[in-house]
Amino acid sequence: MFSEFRSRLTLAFGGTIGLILILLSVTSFWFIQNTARHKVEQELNAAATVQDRLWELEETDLLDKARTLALDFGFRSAVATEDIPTIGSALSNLKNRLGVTLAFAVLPDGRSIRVDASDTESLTQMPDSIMTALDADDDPAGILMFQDQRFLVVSAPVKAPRLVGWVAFAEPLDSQSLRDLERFSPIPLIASIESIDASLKSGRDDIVSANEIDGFGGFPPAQLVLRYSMSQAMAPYRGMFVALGVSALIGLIVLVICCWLVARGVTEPIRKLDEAVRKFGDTSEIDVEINSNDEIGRLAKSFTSMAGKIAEREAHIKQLSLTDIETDLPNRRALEEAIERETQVGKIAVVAIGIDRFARIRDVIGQRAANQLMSMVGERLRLETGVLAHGRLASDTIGLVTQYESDESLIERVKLFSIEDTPFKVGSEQVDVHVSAGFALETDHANMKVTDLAVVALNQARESGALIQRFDAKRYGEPSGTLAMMSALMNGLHDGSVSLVYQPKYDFRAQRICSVEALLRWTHPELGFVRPDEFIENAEETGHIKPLTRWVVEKAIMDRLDMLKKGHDLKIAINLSGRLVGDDVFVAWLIETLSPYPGCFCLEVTETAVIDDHGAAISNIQKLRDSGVEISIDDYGSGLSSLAYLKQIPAHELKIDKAFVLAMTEGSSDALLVKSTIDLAHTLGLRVVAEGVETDDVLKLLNLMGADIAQGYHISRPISLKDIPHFLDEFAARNDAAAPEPAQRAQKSPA
Amino acid sequence: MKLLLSLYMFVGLPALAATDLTIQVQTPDGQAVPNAVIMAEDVSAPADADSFDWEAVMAQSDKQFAPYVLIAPVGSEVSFPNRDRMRHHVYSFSKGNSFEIELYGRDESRSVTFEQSGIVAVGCNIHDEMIGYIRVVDTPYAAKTDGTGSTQITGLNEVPSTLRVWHPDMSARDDLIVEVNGRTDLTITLDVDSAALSAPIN
Repeated sequence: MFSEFRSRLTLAFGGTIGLILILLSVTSFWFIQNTARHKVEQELNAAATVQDRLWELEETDLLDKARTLALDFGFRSAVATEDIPTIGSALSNLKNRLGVTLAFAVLPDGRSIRVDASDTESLTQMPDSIMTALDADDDPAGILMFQDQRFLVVSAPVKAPRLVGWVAFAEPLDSQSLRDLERFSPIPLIASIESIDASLKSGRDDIVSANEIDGFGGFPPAQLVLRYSMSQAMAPYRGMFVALGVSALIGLIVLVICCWLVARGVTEPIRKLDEAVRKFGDTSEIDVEINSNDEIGRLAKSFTSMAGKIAEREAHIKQLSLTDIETDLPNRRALEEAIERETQVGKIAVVAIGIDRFARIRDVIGQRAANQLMSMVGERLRLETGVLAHGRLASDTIGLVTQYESDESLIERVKLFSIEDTPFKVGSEQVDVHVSAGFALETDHANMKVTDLAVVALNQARESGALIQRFDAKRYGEPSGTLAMMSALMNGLHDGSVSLVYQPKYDFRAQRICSVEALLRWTHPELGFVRPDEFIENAEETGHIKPLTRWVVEKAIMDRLDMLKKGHDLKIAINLSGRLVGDDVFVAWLIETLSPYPGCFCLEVTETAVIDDHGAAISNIQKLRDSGVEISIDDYGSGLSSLAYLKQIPAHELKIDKAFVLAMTEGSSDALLVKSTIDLAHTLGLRVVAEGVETDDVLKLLNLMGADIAQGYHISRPISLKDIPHFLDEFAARNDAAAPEPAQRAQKSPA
Repeated sequence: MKLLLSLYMFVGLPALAATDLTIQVQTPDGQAVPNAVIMAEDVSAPADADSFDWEAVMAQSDKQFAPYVLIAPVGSEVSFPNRDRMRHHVYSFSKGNSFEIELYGRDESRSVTFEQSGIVAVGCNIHDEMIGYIRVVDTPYAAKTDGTGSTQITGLNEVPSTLRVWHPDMSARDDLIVEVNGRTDLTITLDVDSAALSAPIN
């Protein structure tokens, strides 16, 4: 309960002031009670004084009466003459006249004539103690305890003229006489007469006043005690106490309510603020309903302003997170958000527009200008018809979200994009931009992001030389399975499911098989036969090409030694991926591994590998060549087939792409191309290998054209290592039977 | 005389010579007690009216009896002359000798004859403070101490064996009997009210 500030505040204030209130009440109560007691004591003392005086008066009055009687001549005469009957009658007469209860006439010898309340006269003997008291005569009035009863006794000597006896009056101090005393008092008190020894003190319940009363003669004194009941004394103040208590209680209740209200007034804005801060933390919504001008109000305003700034900053950070820093274009994330947004609205496609040869352009105009160019391209694309959103997908790629009706209409629209119409003016330079495009729909692939699909489609378009292409799932293969495939491939290197086969190559000049091309074969345990170009391409993508090639090289070395032991010295050609040509570390390994076998191995490299990473590739090829490894340019004619590169690559051999050889007939254009290529290669000092030789006619034609080596099904399909010796024997026999004419060869190989 | 002689012979004292007694009365603490009456009773001479050398008069003067104490022989007539300007009402309730002289004025004198030996306390009914004493004696040998508490009893035939001593304010109720033991010079100790010491001596 007290964990709340409000409760604690209420308790602290209410408690403190309440305590003071209670203290005040108690003090007042104490003070009033003391004052009352003091006042009562004063009254009692006053009353006691009055009582004392009354007592004295009564005593004196009685004494006067006794003296008067004692002086009466007749009485004196009677006493002096001890005339008992006369004394008795005189005493009785005077007693009634003076209104006295008990009267005595005492003779010196102790005889005493007593007249009681009923006027009965009797002759008694006074006790010695009283005689002594009478004789002493130093205090003729006082209290006397006689036969368990207290009397007020006065005495007067009777002198005629010398002492002849005494007159004594006695008033019994019964309750009645004390009640009479009480009646005279201004305050209601209780009078009593008690022994002088009785210890009397004012207690809690009573206030007591005691006055000593002389004893008669030598008799012990007594005390007149006046009591005043405290509760009676307090009675007039009872109302005041009740009023005090009630007002204190009401004050306390009002105080607690006020404290609670004040505490609420103080804590309510704090509570609201607390709530608002919590809500802001949860939802970033600012909702503070405090309009006061005090510190809390200012705190609330500061909070609102701070929260606003935080929201602004958050927005800015979000903006940054959605912006490509280099180009200020929306980034991939922004694009993905747009895709998510637009998907809800209508059918869309994602188009990846790639700027062709962007690396070249960047090299020429510089990074900053290239970024500027990208930004301008993006801006121009944004304004094209049907474009819903744009963003940078890769350094050279802009992604677009566009409306989609059909492939045809989308392709039409993209072809009409104005990127290539007008050059971009970057700084002072005019830059012509050519683009390729790929697009994809979200439904094109189950697992992959549509942006990635569009980029893949762009690559596919570039590969196939199309201007625009939709994502081709078949060509892409099963990318999600790529890694699993690679993992299986790596396992296959050890369990024998990956193997090397060798396709023999026929040397026209030697008229025999003098080399073989090592080719990979993989029989997947579940999928069965996997086409090499499929898994090799994937291995290139994933980097597994490196261990794969290493395995091939080591296997080929072993196989060559194996064949050598069987008496067949065959040069082995190994395909080297273009991606590895520029890898200095790998090339160094190759050199180290193959240099012990100079002239025994030939690495077949595609022309594009050299083009992609020009400088490094050339220098690595040179190093390989220097170490004694032969270099062959593979698939010549299928790519760009630049003469300039052909000249730069320090190769030993040129392999004409099988596309030209397969359809070659005498006099055909392919035949002319092959012939001129052979001539060109020979001119450059290169050996020429023709692939795809499937007929005897082609073989003969190539022989006539001066090709150095032929490879193809007509000679042999790829065969396993163990089949090589048998094949070589069989081929030698067949060759002997139908050997082509070496004389018909058009040109001699320079090698 | 015969008796005297025989007594004298009996005790072996020198005969025919009159004996005087000198008596000093004092309080136990040595103060002189005036107005003490000393009586020699067991002597052989009968008292008669002429045996005392003072008048049998008790006057009233300045609202006091004068003298305070008077020794009078039995049967003597004592006069009470009033020398004050006011009147007095002299009385006594003393047993055997009670009398009452109703109001009488200045220079008037009344007299009473006291027939019985004893103490007569005399008062005035008008003036309570007035008190006087007459000691009626039946012996001619009695004397009253003077201001110095001393007195003499002269002309005794013999030394009495006892003396009777009385004072109106003495503590004892009865007369004090003093053994003489042949002494002629006695000092008697008497317990009296201190007030009596300052009583008028006349």
